Amino acid sequence: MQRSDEELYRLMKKGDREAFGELYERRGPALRRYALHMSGSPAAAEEVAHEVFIQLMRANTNFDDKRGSLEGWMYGVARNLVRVIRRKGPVEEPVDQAFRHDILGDLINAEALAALHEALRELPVLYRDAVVLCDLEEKSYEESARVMGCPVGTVRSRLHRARGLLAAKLKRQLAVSEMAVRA
Amino acid sequence: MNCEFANQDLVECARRGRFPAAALEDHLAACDSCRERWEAERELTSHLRAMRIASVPASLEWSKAVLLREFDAHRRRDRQIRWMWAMSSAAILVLSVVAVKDVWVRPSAAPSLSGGSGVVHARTYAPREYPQESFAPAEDAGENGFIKVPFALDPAPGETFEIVRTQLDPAALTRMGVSVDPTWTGTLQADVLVGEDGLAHAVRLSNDDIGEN
Repeated sequence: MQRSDEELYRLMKKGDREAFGELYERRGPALRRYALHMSGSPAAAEEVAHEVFIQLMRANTNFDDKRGSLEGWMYGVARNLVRVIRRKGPVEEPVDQAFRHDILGDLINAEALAALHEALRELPVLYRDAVVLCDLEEKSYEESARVMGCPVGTVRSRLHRARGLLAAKLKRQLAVSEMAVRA
Repeated sequence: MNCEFANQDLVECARRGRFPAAALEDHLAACDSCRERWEAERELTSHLRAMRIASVPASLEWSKAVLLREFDAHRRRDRQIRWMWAMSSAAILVLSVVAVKDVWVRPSAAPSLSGGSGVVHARTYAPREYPQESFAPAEDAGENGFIKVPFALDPAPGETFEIVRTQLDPAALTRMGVSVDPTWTGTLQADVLVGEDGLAHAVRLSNDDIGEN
């Protein structure tokens, strides 16, 4: 039977290296994706995911399993870190640019993904949060509400609004790309 | 079904990859804008899924290795800190024991007057300094007859002493270093020079009033 995040955390605090590794494998990729979509920068995403686990190791970490899940805590820390990084200024190479540089990949898919990344980056951060957590990380409304610190209804309405904006932006950007290709 | 409810429904259906229910199907058949929204939502969902797959990091093993090294370093630091606390606590405990022993269990430098059957102040003078010969061994006893109590500290410069007349039994005299006939069981009147530390520094046997000395 799979051990819960909280159980792995308790073992990790007692010095169990394997438990720490298992926790990283389970949550690390999702945290990095989340940070990537929220910051738009692969380097920032790597830094954020790394820092979340560093904070988890610390003896004075403020995680309390009575107040919420470990996963929720980790996403909360990642959100705050992304906010700090964004305050420092524009990222060096946004991920949509990285996709455009992939000349060996499938051009159509790469173009659509690049357009989606750009559209996501342009969303207001509250809407972006909802899309990243609910649609990219596939979290439930309740889990997303805990991470975002707002009611479930708010998460739902933000997500619906965000998807409408994304769909419209994506449609415009793909149309522009298509016209550029034909020209 | 109106467009507001239809929009909420179709977004959830698109997100979860479900087919719309009959009521929604009928609305979509009749409403162009909602049908357009439905198509856009489905396309968006497929792009988001592709984005999710494309975002899987390739360097997971490397990142994990770096973090595991950090984890090991943290454990080593924690162990060192725990050792330092243990050693500090042990050192404090040892120092406390030594300090307590030194302060509370001090070997007597000189006997107190507790061995006497009673303290009789026939007459006392205000504390004053006494000449060094008052603190000499028996064979060098000075004019006033005081003999230094063995192991008593020498007087400090300017230290004053008080004469206390008391009855001393053989045990008290022996503690003071005075040779006593072991068969004798009585008490003797003695004048004791008591220092500022409350301890006896010199003693003389006396049957008389304290007098000037």
